[in-house]
Amino acid sequence: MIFEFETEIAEKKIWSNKYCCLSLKIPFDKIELKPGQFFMVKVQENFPLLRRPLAVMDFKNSYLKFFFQRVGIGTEILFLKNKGERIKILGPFGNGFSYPEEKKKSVLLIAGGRGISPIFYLAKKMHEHRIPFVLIYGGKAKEDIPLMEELKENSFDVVYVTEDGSFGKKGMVTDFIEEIVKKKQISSIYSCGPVEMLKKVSYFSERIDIESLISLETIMGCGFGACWGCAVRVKEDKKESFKKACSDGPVFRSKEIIW
Amino acid sequence: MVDLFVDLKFLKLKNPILTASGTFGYGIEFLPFYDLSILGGVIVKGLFLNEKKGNPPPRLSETPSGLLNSIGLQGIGVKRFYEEVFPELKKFNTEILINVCGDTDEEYAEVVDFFKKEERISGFELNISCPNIKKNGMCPAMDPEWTYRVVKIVRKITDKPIVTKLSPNAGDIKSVAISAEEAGSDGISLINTILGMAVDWKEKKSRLGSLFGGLSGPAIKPVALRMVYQVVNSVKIPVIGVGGIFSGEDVMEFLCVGAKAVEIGTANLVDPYACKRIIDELKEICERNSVERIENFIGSFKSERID
Repeated sequence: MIFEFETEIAEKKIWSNKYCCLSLKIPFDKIELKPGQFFMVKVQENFPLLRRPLAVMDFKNSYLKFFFQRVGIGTEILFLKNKGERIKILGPFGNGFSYPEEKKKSVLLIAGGRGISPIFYLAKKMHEHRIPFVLIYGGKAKEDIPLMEELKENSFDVVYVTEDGSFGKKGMVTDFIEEIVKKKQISSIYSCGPVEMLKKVSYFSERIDIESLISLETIMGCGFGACWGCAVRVKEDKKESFKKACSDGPVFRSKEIIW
Repeated sequence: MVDLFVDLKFLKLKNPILTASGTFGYGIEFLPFYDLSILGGVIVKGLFLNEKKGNPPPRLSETPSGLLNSIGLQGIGVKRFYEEVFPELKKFNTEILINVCGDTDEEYAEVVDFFKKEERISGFELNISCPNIKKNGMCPAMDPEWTYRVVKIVRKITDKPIVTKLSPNAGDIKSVAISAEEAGSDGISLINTILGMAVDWKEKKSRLGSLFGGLSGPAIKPVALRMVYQVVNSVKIPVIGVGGIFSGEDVMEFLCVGAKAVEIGTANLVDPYACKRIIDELKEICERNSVERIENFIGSFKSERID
């Protein structure tokens, strides 16, 4: 079920003037929502024109949480909004991450930078279904892995990685996935993060032939499959075509993507 | 009780609200939002004979009050549309028009030929802004004579209503409109998108996957209004106004200068409920201003001089 709401910002949290989490109350305590799905958010009347796609970071007790980074004019305006201000949300959209709920083999969740948003919700859901997982969460520096407190609250098994070594292991997230996959006998991988990270995850997964789902971030127009503006280049049985990130995705099998 | 019925002669609409091709998918994408039967009509995304891949991403670049797109007419082709989409779409009590595309002049006729016997297709909107592969990417809409040829080719094979959609990028849109009328077009719709560009100066290239894109949205409304006014005063056949319509007030402006109906485009992307909202706003405006029949309001603009 798709709905549109104008709702008030109930809580706002920011980190290092870059990242922001907004909590919005909606009049439902249960909605059909899958991790990896997103809402189209109207940040302000009149300008900018288009809504912005924001992945759901969490949904609990009627509160929807969106975690994002200031990257352009839309997210800039949203970042500057305060508790009590109203914004409109439309959704949920997208296919979300699929996984068998009775899965008992370990999985690997990979989050890079702001990619932690849908992965956080995925981790919560997997935890609910008692699917064992390892979460590897990395960024350029300590300030780029801001959800440490929230992850700690949920007692998730997290491996932190920073490129500059300011926290956790030093290097790129992808430097550590092979050893984790082998050590924990990982059966599938779920990732969200920068394109370079997803590329490496994709090549790695193909090399060792492991199931790998990735969530892509793209510029979007409508967000619900009508305008074809969010095209992603894919290959299926050697045939190349364009799929829509908003409705065929944003989650794709990584081997489908033509980088 | 306001009467929003409009008679375009070749088409009778319960209200002047049509959906602009390219912004409304194949119609069924909007089923989660409202009953398509509320619309005067749906003009589906442009169809070529076969599947069209479309342009490489990025396909969108937002502008102040507008949107630049280089979607590239991606589409599923006539057969897949007819088999996979049409059975669902035709269930709704609304006029359905096919937006016809062609890489060549002949392809327009081939697309029309495929649908001409289908009772639930109310007519064809010729998308003459398609770049022609034999003519270096130029399109018929730029040239009155070329427009005449394409409309004529299609006119020969069908009695169903033909609406020719004009491009603002033409040198002289009035001549193109007159040509379309002379070739047998039943109606004219305008404007299609305005050719534009978005530049990433850091990377020193286009922000789009293509060099140019088409501009749409509120920013283009004044241009659309001007051209609709000019064309209304150049042809006798009904004119459908398109360009930057986001509200009932915007619709009134186009009807005022003589458009008999309008197409809502980019607004659908920003707000999937746009058409429903605009129909309600239109009713409200007419009630407040004692316009009992919207047809009586069409063309009420007090002409000063015709340019």
